[in-house]
Amino acid sequence: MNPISWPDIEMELAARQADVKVAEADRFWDEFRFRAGETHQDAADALPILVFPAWAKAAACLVAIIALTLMVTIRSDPMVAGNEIQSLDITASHSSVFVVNDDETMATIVWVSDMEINDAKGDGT
Amino acid sequence: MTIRTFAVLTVWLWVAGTSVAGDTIFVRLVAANNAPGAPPAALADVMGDLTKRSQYSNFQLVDSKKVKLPAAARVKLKGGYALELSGPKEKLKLGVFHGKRRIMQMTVSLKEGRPLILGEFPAQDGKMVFVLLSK
Repeated sequence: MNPISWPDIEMELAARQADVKVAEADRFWDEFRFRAGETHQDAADALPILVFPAWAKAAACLVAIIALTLMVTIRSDPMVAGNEIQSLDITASHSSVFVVNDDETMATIVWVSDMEINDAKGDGT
Repeated sequence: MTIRTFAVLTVWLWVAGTSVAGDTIFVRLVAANNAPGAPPAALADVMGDLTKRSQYSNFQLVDSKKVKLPAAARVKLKGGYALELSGPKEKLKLGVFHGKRRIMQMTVSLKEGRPLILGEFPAQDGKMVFVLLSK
């Protein structure tokens, strides 16, 4: 089989290309600009895509963690306020009673002296 | 982790934290006497108050119970004592009973982590002390 030489190939291509109508450059660009002008391609008209940068995510996480920590800390802080006795009624006989808040242990103590339960008034019913 | 995942996690933690914190009352019944004995670890948080107020030197944990808040419970304890608790911890109604007899009635606003110590109630040998703690 005889290989086709390169000059032959060039001649063949040139002969075929002659039949193809190639648009002139000026006409091509005129058409391009006309079509481009018909279609809106402004970036402002495009739908906005919300993208959070990594630093914003990290900041949001940090703020949430701090807020959560503060909420839990304030809620469970024993220094916020002490127990408050709103009413007290001792139905058993006794000699004395004192109520005290211990500043060190933050405990509330109701101490009844010489209590005797045999003659308690209330029957609990 | 996306922002949405983190937000869901934060809300869940907040709800879990608020629902768990301080919604239980721990009741301890303590026997006070002068018998020899080492202080129990279960009373370590209130030993200072007990020894400071009481004429007795030995304190032993006799009984303990847990009550969920808001309370509506009658807690039977050893020695014939019982506690009746009702309402939220901000306005907790507390009755101390011996058998069927009510011997003390009080309304108290309990703060989380602060013990309420009630003493001294008669016992066969020494006295009884109640320790209530909201956690």
